[in-house]
Amino acid sequence: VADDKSDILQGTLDLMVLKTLDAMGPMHGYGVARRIEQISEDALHINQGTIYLCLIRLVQKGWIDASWGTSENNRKAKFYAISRAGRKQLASETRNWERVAGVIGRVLQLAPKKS
Amino acid sequence: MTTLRHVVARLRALWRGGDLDRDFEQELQSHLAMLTDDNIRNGMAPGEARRQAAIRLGAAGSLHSQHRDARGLPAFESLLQDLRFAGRLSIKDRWLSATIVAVLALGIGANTFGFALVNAAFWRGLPVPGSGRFVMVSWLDRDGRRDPASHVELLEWQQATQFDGLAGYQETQASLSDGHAPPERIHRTRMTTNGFALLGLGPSLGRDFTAADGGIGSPPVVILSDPLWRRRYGSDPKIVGTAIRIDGAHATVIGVMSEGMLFPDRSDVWVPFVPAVEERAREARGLEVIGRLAPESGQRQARAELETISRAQMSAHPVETNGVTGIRVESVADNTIGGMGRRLITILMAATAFVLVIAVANVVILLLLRSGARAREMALRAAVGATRGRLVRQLLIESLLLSLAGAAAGLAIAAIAVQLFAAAVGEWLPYWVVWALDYRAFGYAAAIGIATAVVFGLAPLVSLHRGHAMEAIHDGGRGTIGGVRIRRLTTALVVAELSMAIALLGGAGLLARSVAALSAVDLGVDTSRLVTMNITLPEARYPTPESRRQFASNVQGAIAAIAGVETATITTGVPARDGGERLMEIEGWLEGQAPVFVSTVAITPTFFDTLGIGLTGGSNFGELDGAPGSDVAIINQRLAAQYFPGQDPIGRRLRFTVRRLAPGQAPGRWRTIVGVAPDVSHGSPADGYINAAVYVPYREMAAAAVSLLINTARAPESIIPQVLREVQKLDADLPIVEPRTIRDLLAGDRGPYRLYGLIFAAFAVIAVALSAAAVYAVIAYAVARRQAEFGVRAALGASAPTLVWLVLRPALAQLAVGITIGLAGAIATGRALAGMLVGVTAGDPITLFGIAVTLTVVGIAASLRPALRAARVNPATVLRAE
Repeated sequence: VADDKSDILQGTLDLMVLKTLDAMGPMHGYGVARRIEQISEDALHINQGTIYLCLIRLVQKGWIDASWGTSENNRKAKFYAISRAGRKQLASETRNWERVAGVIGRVLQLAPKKS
Repeated sequence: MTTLRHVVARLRALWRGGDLDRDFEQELQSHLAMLTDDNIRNGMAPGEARRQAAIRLGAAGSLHSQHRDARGLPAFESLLQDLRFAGRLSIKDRWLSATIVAVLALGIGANTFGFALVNAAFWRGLPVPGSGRFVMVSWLDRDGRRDPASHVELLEWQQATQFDGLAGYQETQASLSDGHAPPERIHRTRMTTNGFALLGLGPSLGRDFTAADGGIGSPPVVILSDPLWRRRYGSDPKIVGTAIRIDGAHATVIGVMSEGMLFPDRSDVWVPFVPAVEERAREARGLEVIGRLAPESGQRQARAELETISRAQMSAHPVETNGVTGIRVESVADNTIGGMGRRLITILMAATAFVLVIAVANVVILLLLRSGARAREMALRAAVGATRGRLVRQLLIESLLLSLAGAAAGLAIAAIAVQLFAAAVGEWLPYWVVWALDYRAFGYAAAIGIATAVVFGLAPLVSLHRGHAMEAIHDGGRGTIGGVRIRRLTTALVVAELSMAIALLGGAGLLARSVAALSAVDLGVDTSRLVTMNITLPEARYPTPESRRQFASNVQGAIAAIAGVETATITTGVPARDGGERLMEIEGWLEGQAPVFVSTVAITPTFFDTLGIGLTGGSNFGELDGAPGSDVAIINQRLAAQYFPGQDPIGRRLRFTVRRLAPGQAPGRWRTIVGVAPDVSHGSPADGYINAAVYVPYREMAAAAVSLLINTARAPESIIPQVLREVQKLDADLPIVEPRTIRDLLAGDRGPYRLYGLIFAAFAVIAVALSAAAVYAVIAYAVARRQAEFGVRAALGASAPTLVWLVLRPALAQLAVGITIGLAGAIATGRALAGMLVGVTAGDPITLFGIAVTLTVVGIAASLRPALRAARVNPATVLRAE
């Protein structure tokens, strides 16, 4: 039931996660979640658990790789890194996003018709 | 690529679910820890920090399940869940499950057995590459029977372009002798030299025939079959190039055929077809013709082309083609099995379909009766959100689990049944009919399993349909919802089962009566003292009738000298066999009166003594009867009664003739009737009557294929070794055919009837047992459901007999309807079996009555136990339970 609404969000979240990993290098799930929250200046308050659903999806698609490692505070954590396929995907998604965003922006700027 | 990776990842996730769960759990734990650390750093108390962290992360359980859905195949995992549930359910209801599996195994097993027979006989075809492209071509005579073709005609047919080729062959018996082993009778096939190449098989040793081998005057060659080569020549490859003798004539072995190639039927050797002088005539039709369709041509085009050729042949040679009306092109199976064989196998298949339907009906009944309880569970599931599709899937998975188990067990049953059948039928059908299960049979069993699963799996839906969930839950599992519908449906199914069981029982009963009739057949002689043995005198060494008569007289003398032997005789017609039917006419018949077919038997003067009967009139043949100028005959009483009613036939004359006298051909000479013999059966006991017969002296009709018939005072089996010794003393080269008592011979004749009857009986027993079980189950269920009602009735003073009657009445009504429909079915079965029935008709009242009584007894027995339980109901207990 919730799928209809989350579809857009899901795609967007995928893109954000990919971009984050691309920009910051390998990170654990918590780090990714924190980073996205910080960047969005806490405007985007995501349920941190959903990050993991996104991560597993991306792993399955082969866009990111996962491996266990140790965090900066010496905790065991699973680290995610963007793969070559992921970078390609990120590039095409980014282009796509910019195009769509541009279109939407133009549509939203349409002045109401004078009647 | 990405998609593939994705699928692989999800599939792997299916099997590594546990590992991945743990992995994810660890990841979440580390996330929580880091989040808690941050919260503490931001000034929260440790407890509050942990709580807030958990809230931020979201509900762990829901995360886990979302995680599973994302990484695996949710649809498949719920399927596994259903499977696990179905498995648990079938273990919980293990008796019900075991019953269902067993019943289905019987049904599917029987039906797969039937399918395997049809498949083996009609679909598998010759064991050669492209077997579906082979057809048989034959002439049709005026009576619609197939006629072989002559060599000349075959050569013309071979011009047809729709064929890769056409080959002719002729199966004959021959005697084989050499230095290796005693002579033996073998199957020899004369085949046009293109035969093996056309069939696509070559020799495993040596060479195939070449066209030159078929030329007139070419040196005789022979190809051995693989089994003959192994058995007789010990697989010696050096046999190729040596000479063996076939019917006394030398032939050089040029090859050994590859294993499994016994075309046309269990051939021991093949020789090239070289037309003898008399076989070069257009009307000398002795060749069966097989053709392989050209790759781009179909049976219809091939037939059209051959029809054109054959019409041209008929108009160009009207005299020679006088007897034929057209040609027939058909599959090898249709040509060689056709008629009776096809009918018997089809009937068997139908019978097994009955067994299957009965089995499935039984399972449906069982599940319907249980569906009251299931309805509650289903309603609960629906109430907590299961979709209808999910419920249907759940039911189908449960039934699939059971029916596939049933199909597997059924396959095992079918495999055993087919093996038993193969052992029992022996060499009934051509060699390429291999009675065994193949991949088609496996596929069939699986398909039937799935189909039955759908049928009985959805049965419980009948009761679920339209029911309100809450009602079902409140009902406490007693299942009144859909109760009426269940009752109607189960009753209808029981009636259907009963009628099908009766139809099968009818077939079994009629066949049993036929076997009994055959065993009771009176041949007109005491068979307990008779031993017989077939002898074929090779033409090469017994070329003249005189030489054969001499042998007959020698062997009779030698055998009669054995202690314990009363008399011996040489004849072409031991009881229940004859020396062939011929057309006879009687002197004094009006012009235009058609000649009639009678059995003819060549005998020596000791014949009647050996059978232990005396002539009823006239005198026996003398030693010189049958010599030129002494044309005599003895007739049997039946012939006398039929054609000389109220007259003395002695001294009258009869002669043999043919239907259409060729130009210049004369009927046989008139022969004088010298004696009248008691009736002895010379026809198939299945005919149920004794043929009119004419005995002629062996001296005159000295056939090469004869039987030695011995009357002995000792146990018939005990003299057999001595008989063999004496015969070999006379001629060491005579192929030996195992002597048998006449009783064994007759028992052999009954074999097919017995086998067929046994199979039907087995099916009938299964059918009756299953229907009885169904009757029992339905009534027991009804009694259980009406406990309370019976309790009240008993409390209000109903007597035990009243209660029993209350239960029995509907049961009897079911029985009555089932038996009525079933008897009609039994008569129909009998009609279908018409060719197999001896001494009974399809509507045989004794059989039908017996079946009705049997079924009534079985039906009442099945309902009696639950009925008595109804009568024993203790009102107090029942009402308290309420």
